[in-house]
Amino acid sequence: MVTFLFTLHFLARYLHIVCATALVGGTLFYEMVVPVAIDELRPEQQLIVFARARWVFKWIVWAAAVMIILSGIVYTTEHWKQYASDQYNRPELPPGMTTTMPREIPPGSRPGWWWVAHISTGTIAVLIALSLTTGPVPPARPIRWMRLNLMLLLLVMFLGSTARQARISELQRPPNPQPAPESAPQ
Amino acid sequence: MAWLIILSRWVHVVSACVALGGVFFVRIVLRGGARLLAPDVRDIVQLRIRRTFKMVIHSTILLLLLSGSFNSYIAWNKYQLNPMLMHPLWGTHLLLALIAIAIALYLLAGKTPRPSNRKWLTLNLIVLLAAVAAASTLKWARDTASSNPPGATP
Repeated sequence: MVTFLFTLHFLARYLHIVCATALVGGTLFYEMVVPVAIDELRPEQQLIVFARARWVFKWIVWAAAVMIILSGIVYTTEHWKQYASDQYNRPELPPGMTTTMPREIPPGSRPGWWWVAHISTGTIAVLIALSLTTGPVPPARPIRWMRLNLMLLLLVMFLGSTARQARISELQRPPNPQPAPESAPQ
Repeated sequence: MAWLIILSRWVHVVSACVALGGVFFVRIVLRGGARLLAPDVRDIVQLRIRRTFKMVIHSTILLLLLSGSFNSYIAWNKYQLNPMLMHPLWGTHLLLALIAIAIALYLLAGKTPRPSNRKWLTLNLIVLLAAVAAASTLKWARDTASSNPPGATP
C-alpha cells in the first residue's frame, strides 16, 4: 500500500508538471511563434496550418486537462492537512519536546489560501483552453484569447509556486516551545 | 527573500515549460500543421519557425541556468540532509539538462536545419522529460527530508 501511494504521488507530481508544460509551451508557441512564421503565406495557406495545428493541439489540450485535474486531486489529497487548516501543529516533534502549542498561521502565509487561488485560476485557464480547441471552428479572435490564457497560465504557475513555498515554510518553522509547567507551591 | 525564492522557482518552471513545450509543439503539433502545405512553402514556414524558436530557446537556456544556479544555492543545505539520495538526483537532473541544452544548441546552430533534425528533436524531448522526472523526484526527496529532519522522529 505504501509503495502504491508513493508511486501514485510520484506519478501525479510528474504528470502535473509535464502536462502543464505541454499546455503552457504549446499555447505560447501557438500564439507567438506560429503567427510570425506564417504571416507571409497566403490566407488560405495560413488557415490550413492553423486548422491542422489546432486539430492536433486539441487532443493535447484535452489529454493535458484531464491529467492535470486528476494529478492535481492526488497532489491535493497528499497535502490536504496543511491546506485545510489555519493552524499548524508540527506532526513530529524534535527530541525532548512532548507537545507544541497550536499556532495560527498569518493569512498571507496560509498554504490553503494560495492553493484556492491556484486551483480557481487553473480551472478558468483549463476551461478557456478547452473552449478554444473544441468545436469545428475557432472562436472569434483566437490569438487574443490564447494570449489571455497564456497570461492566466503563468499566473496559475506563480500561485502554485507560492502555495508550495507557503507549505514548505510552515513545515520548516520551528514549533512553539511547550510552556514551562508552573512550579507547585511549596 | 521568500519572494525571491518564489520568483526564481517560477522563472525556472516557466522556462522549462517553454523549452519542453516548444520542443513538443515543433516536433508533434507543427508537423501535423504543415503536412498539407506544398514542400517549398513548408520549408519556408519551418525556417521561419526555427528562427523564432532559436531566439526563444536561447533566452530560455539563459534563464534556466541563472534560476537553476540560484535554486541550487538556496536548497544546497537541504541536500545535505540526505546526500546519499539527493546528490545523485541533483546530479542526474543537471546532467540531463546540460545534455538537452547541448542538443538544442547543436540543432539550432547554423542557418539551415540539420539533416537528422527530427531524430534529434525526439531525443531532446525524451531527455527533457527525463530531466523533469529527476527534478520531480529531487523535489519529493527534499520536501520529505525538510519535513522530517534527522532526529525529529520521536
